[in-house]
Amino acid sequence: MPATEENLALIRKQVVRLLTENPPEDTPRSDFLGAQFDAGLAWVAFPEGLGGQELPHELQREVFRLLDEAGAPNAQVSNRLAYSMGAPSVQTWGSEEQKLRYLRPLFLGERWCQLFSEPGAGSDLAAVNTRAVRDGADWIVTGQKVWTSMAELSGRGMLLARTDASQPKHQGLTYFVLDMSAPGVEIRPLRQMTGEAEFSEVYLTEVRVSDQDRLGPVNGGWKVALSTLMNERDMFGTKTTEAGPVEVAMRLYHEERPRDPSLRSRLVDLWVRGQSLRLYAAQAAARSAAGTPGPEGSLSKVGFAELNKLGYELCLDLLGDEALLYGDYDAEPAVLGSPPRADTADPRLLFLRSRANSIEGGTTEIMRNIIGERVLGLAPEPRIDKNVPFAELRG
Amino acid sequence: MDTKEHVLESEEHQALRHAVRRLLERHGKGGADLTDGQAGQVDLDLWGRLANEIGVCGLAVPEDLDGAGFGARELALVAEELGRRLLPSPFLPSVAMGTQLLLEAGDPAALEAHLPALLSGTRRATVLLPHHGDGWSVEETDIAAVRDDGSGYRLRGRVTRVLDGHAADLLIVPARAEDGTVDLYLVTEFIDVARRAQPSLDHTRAFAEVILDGCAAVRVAAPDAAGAIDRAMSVAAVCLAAEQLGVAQHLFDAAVKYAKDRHQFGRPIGSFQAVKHKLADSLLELELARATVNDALGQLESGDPSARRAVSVAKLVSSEAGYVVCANAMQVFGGIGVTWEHEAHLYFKRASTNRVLLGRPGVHRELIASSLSL
Repeated sequence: MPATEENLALIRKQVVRLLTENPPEDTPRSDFLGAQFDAGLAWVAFPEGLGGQELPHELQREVFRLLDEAGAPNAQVSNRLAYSMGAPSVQTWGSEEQKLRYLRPLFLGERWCQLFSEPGAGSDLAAVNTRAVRDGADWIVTGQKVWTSMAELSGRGMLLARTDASQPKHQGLTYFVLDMSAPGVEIRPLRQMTGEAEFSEVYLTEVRVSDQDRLGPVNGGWKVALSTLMNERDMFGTKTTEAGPVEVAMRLYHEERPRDPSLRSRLVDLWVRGQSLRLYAAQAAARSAAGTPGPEGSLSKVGFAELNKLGYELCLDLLGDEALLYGDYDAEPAVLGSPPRADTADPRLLFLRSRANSIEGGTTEIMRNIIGERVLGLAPEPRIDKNVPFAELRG
Repeated sequence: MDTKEHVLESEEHQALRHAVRRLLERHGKGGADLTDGQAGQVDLDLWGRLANEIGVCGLAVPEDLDGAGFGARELALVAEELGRRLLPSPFLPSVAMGTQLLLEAGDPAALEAHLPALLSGTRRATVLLPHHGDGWSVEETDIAAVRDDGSGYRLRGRVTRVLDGHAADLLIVPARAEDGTVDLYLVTEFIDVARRAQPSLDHTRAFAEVILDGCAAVRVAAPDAAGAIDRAMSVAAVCLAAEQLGVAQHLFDAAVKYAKDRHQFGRPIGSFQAVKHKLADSLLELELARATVNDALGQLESGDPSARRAVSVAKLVSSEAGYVVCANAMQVFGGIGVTWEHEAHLYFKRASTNRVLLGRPGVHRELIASSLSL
């Protein structure tokens, strides 16, 4: 449902009132966010009483724009995973009791992390091995998760676990909202090639999870996980206004003043590519707002990942011999749990970090499969494991 | 009619697109028929219908000059549809280039004398740019203009690879006068003019060598010939970019269909990742190119100061994307894709020549680089 002039005006009035009654400079963060939630401006598309007013989703962008202008807290930025992935999953799949229990604390700052990937289940996420075994009113969870962002800071984790190994892999999974402070949850940092540890491994050893924290049906967790992942892909695709490799390369070009004409040529091409991707994403946002979304998320993800790798390779070439050295592999990340920012980080760090852009959040190969199959309608490859009970699968 | 790539278009634009497409489907030559006879041979009947039933020649001509009063976006839309069909037509040289140039030059006498026939499609114009690949700078023109007795001029020189040069009725010629200034001159009488069709790589385009041997010409009174050329050719370049999108989209759609229908090793070839990924990458290139063309049209409409750069971005990106997408599609077709009989080579050849026309990629890249102070 697209936004109208009318409800846009309504939203603006409401934000003005929120800011007047809760001036950001004088209001403690969680008080402000609480007021925002209660005013139905947290997720305007959500129901009343749950942070929303059942207004078109597109209006949320305007809410954040106005809040950013006023220097108010921005939950979408500061609590991205919970806000953009956890909350929509709760809204779609949660019971009324769960929505009441989870959403407000989440919005007020409780971080959520993702407990999906495992060493043996990356692209093939449905092959997760972490088990949840029923025990009275609870489940007992044992397993290992990997590539979890913000685990140490998170109050809750979105957990995908196997509850029935006698079913084919997609059909024996259940989704839980795990209390990260529960006994048996052990978090270990996962160090990347950059030297930083943005992510963690999470070991779960007989962790007790209440059935009240199950999201969606028993053995119906795959669909819930898919909806979480859809939101993740959109997150990756739409970062069009942050600085990136084009800005870094431009700056380096002007600083280094290289004589090699091929570097100039590559820089122009990089700029043109970046420009094309930004125009595409901006026009896609317009299409989405008009209610006619397309394959933009997947296409943008592939495009930006390749742009980043290509762009930072050029940055390295612009650095000349400096590219042989590094900053400090033992340095702490600028922001815990976040990737380095293009506008402040060392280009060599950005170069190393960019290699993962085509792997995280859906590899470029998987994205191309999705584009080919779901957008172009090409036949999927034969899957030999789809209908075999999980317990019988090898490897 | 599947136009999912145009979902945000206005109803009026969709109607125009639909009208052109329907006319072409019913009457245009398709596929291997295009290799018969002379390259780029125009179906005059169909051209007349496009001109008179739909008014393609007058889309961007102001209403007070008996045009429809629209602009570049409408021209680009038609160009894209003509590209899809690969229709040999004088649209690019006569409408997008020639008519636009006369409008931008703004000489009332020239417009009065020539516009009506151009609008009805009964006469065709073409612009004798000295080079295609180097863009539309006319400083290198080899044509000399000498004052004749009276108010006329005589032109002397040779230009090769003139689009539609063999059949055009009106030649718009950038020429250098004795004082060194370059202006535009019009040739309508083909005495002391030798025109020879040149063999074209692209079966759907006609090129000719034109030798002006002291032929009579009328000077176009334009206060700023270079500016007029730049503005007109900018519009033409975006039209060519849009045409390239149409060319590539057609062959891409055909390749996707082929990947679904063609079976090898017991399954559709599109189920193999290598083929699937090539097509997925092609879709990305098409979508990005489309975004740049939309942006250039928007900037031209709003008179944005960076519109000239946006035009070069659109031309550069669409040229390359269109070519790569056609090349990938040809690859997907396998053996039949490189045969004379299959339509793939026709689209590939058009996409290939479109990279050169109105500035090869390097020229546009250079303009973009300069605009970024690199």
